Amino acid sequence: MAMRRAIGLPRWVWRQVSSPRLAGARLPLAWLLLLSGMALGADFLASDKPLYLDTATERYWLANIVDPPGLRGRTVQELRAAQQVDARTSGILVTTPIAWGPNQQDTGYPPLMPPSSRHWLGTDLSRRDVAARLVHGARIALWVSSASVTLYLCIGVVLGVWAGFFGGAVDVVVTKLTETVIAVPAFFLLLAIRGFSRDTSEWTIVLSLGLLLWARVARLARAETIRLRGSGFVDAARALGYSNTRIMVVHILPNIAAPVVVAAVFGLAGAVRIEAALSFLGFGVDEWTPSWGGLLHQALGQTQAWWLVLAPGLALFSLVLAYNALGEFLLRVLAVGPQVHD
Amino acid sequence: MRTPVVGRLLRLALGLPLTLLLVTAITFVLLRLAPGDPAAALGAGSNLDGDAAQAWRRLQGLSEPWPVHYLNWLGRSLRLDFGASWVGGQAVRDIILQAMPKTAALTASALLVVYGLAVPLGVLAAIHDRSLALRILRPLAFGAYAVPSFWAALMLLVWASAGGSLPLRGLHSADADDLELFPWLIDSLWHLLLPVLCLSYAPLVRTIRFQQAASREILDAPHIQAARARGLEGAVLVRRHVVRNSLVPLVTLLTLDLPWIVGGSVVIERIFSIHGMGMVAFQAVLQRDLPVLLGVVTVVCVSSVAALAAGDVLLRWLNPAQRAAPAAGSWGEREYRRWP
Repeated sequence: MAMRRAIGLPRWVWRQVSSPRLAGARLPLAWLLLLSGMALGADFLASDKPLYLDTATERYWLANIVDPPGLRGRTVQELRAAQQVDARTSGILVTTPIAWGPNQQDTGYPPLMPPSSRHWLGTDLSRRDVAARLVHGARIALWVSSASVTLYLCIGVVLGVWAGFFGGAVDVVVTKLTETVIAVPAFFLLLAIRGFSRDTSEWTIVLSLGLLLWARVARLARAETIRLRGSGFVDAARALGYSNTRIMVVHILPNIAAPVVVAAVFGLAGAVRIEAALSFLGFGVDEWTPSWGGLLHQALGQTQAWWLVLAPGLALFSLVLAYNALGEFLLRVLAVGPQVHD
Repeated sequence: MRTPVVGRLLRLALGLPLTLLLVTAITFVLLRLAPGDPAAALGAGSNLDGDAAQAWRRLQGLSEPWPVHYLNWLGRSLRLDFGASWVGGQAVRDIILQAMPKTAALTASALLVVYGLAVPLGVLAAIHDRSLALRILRPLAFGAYAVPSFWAALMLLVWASAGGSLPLRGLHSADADDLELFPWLIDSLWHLLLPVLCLSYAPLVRTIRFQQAASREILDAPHIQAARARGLEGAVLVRRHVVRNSLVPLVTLLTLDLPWIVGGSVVIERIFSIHGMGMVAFQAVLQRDLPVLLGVVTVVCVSSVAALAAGDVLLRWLNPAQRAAPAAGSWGEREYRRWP
């Protein structure tokens, strides 16, 4: 605290970030931050509306997120063409770095074209810009994986701690359920659910993933809870008259956090992979929503379209690698056992 | 003392059917209660309508309440009669029997490759821990582990379509039936090469790391140090002590991988057009073929559960120390203190 006051906040932050303690975490965290930024700011990176348009008659700010009625139905390409034709409407037009929307179809341009100066990563089957879909696809990858992991963490930890804490009949039932769910190959069941419900909203994907993958976390949480139950402080809390709920929340949860966090990070890597595999098979998000797996799905029928394979694959690979690296760092730092590594 | 073992076997015998029942019930409920009318989906391509559709529904048991349907289906399944496919009418049992060997060939080969290579490589990695080659290989292996297998397969497809002679579809060439046994085997292995490669590189990396850690632990153990002080070294040391002692954890890992054999990988089978269990399930989902999907998922689930249980029994038999430990969730855990 005194140090922070002495050297000033920015320098203090820099010291913390660059300390050797964090070796092995900086790169993955930076990359994750970058990808998250890309996902959050996707509309600023790739949009078919301009960032700033100033003609003689009107001025539009941030049309890519504001969507003003005056510009509805008109794309950046149209506006640019109009400017070149009519001196009256010419002015300043500032576009996003990738001047295409993720669902904008470039009519008049062939589908499945390799990268060119017009489309930096080529076009897909529906004449949409691949680079734009790549940038927007980060949203699905990050959001679906985070949401489903959060969901199954909640379910798994609650059930695991509950079973481990109370033991007896509750424990037997939960353990039986856990064993059943673990024994079943999740992807088959997931395929069945996804295929039959055919509901392409992201929420159903999150729900399906969450309801199928909680078992390992539950088993871990239960084992850790049982281990903690044998240590003294739970008895002490009991003697002090704390309620069961209080003991579970205040004492047990923070102490099982370490292995659960590691399992969560590796689980995030797995969830990204599963979502991509699902979209790749055609059972993920609908065809219109940009997704990395969806781009790969299109590539299956067109194996000469290497741009549809390389870019989303690299993106997926980098995300999974970042999560794995973060998980390895946490494994090392938190010194948890090998049972959490998937 | 036979009683603990018998007791454990009994517990297993009682627990296994319960798990299987739960698994099939969950699968059945999920599929049966899923939104969407199968007859409507079927009617799109076929000539069913009105009364015919109603009759068909009644025949398939769809007009009954789902518990009744489930019990009927369960009864028939116990006799291994899974009904007939809604697309084509082939008996589901036959479809599964045709598909299973293909998946098994794929995954068994992958498992063979993984465990066959991982043991020697892992031990080598543990011995030459500090060498330059390994310091370069480790990050590379880590990176390879993060590559999604279906992306690797797609890249291989793209590369092959750009000019290459590796086989990309199915498990046999078109004229494979005319071949003698030996050329047929070679042809099959040739076709297996790419899919097995894609399936196995990630588990291989994981298992090598596992084996390396286990071997390292053994090599650092005091009794090994003592043996080396006595002059025991090299291949004899490795063979006699390191490999044997690391076998039990490795078998643990193997038993966890066993369920994979029946299920396989849906994406790899899809990419390489191999008509195994995964592909059958995929097509059943695509065509909304409920009996086939139900049959495949049930068979895969049941095999997984059985494989895990068998692995559990094998482990307890292999490792005497574990015989004393109670199974998770068994009544033996009443030994722990319980809160009121």
